[in-house]
This record gives sequence, C-alpha cells and structure tokens, in this order.
Amino acid sequence: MEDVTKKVMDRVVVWERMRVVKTLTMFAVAVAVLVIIGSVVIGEIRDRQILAELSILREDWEVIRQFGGEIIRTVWEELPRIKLGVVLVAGMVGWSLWRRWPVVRKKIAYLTKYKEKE
Amino acid sequence: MDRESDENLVEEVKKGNIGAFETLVGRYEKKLVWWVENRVGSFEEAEEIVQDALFNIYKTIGRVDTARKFSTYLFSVAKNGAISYLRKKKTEERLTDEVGLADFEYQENPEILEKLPDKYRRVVKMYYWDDLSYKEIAAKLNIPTNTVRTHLRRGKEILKKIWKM
Repeated sequence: MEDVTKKVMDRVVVWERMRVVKTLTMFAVAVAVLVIIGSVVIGEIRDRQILAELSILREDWEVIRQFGGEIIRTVWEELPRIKLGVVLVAGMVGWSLWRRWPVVRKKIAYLTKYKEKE
Repeated sequence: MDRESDENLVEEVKKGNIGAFETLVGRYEKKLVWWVENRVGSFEEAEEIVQDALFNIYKTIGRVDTARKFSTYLFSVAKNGAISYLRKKKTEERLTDEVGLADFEYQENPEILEKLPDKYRRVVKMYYWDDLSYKEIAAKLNIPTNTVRTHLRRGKEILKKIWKM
C-alpha cells in the first residue's frame, strides 16, 4: 500500500524536476538577454550621446517649455527602441521568476532530499 | 507536519513544500484506495485511479480552494476518476458485444476507428464513447435520427470487416 504514496511522489518529483529546470533555464536566458542586450543598448546610448540632449532640463523653465517637447521626441526617435523593448521584457520575465525564487528553492531542497533518499 | 490541518498542508504545497503533499497523500491513500476499490471492484485499478487523481490534484494545487474542505475535493476527484473508468469499461464491453468482436482491443488499436469514413466514425464515437442517444446525436449533427441509425449500423459493419481482415 505504501507503494501508492511512493508512486505518486515519483511522478510528482519527475514533473517538478522538469518545471524547476524550465524555470531556471528561463531565468538564465532572461538574465543573459538582459545583460547582453542591455550592455549593447547602454553602449549605443553612450556612443551616440542620445541622453546628452536632455541637458536642456538644466536650463530655464522658459527654454524647457519652448524646446522640451521637441527634445523628448528626438531622444525617443534616437533610442534603440526594439532592443530596449527586449531588455524590458527580459527584465520583467526575470523579475517575475526572481519573485518565485523562495518557492523554487524549497522545491529544489525537497528534490535533492528525495534523490538522496533513493 | 503530521498534525497540520489538510488546508494548511495545501497552503504549504502552494508555497513549494512538496513534502507537505507527501504527508497529505500518506494521510488519505488507504481510505481512497479502499473507497475506489468498492466502486470499481478491482484493487489494482483502484490504485491506478487514486494515483492519477492525486497526481492531477498536485498539478492543479494552485487552484484548490482552501476555504473548502480538502477531503471532499479529494474524494470528488477520485470519484470522477472511478466514474470515467467505469464508463470506459462499459463502453468497451458494449462495443465488444454489439460489434460482435470478442477480441476487439480498440485500446491497443485506436487506429482501427480512424479507418472508418468520417461520417460513420463521428456517429460511432458519439454513441459509444460519449454515450449519446440517437436523438442527441441527430440534434448535434443536424441529421435525421434514422440516418444516425444507418450510419451506426454501417460503421459497425465496416469495423467488423476491418477487424476480420
């Protein structure tokens, strides 16, 4: 009869192992994308001095009011938007997985214990 | 953990504590197998049904409402498993009897049904697998009841021929 618990837990362990591996892989991919594409985006912004345009914010209110809209539009057009979008999505995925880390950690602990028990 | 309430254990499982599920399984496995065995009449089948039920509960544990009694939910899932098993068994027996193929092992040969022309296959499936009546099939397919009867008869004849080949 103890077999039922064992068989159920065997299936649960196999299933959970797959899920944990999937979660960790997704997290690794998200972090890699974030780091690689993120550094490319930062490099482009630096090289093309896109944000330098924003120095207008240090000017008088009158100047900001007159040219602010145009400057923001220019900055927006200059930004590598697709890459930035990818970074944003990767960041969101990574963040949501990071928030689930306590749950995943508990699962890993159990899976390790289960493997040792076997 | 053994003294924890079922609902607390379910909450623990939701938080990633797989061991809490092991406790839950251990708490109910005997009762469940005994209960299912009384309905299906076979210990081995009862074990299978209970295993499937428990595994399915684990997979959907996030959706379990802890405001409701867990044991009620557990037994209702096991009951559904037992009902599907009995329905499947009944269908197998009915199909074997009516088609007159004592050795018809459709489970091992599901492709045999695929050999039927589409119009016969859907009627055979609805009648034997979904347990629908002639009238219900007629309404679903928007065809006369007599046509359903004819399609079913022809379908069975073809099945016999295929099986004897």
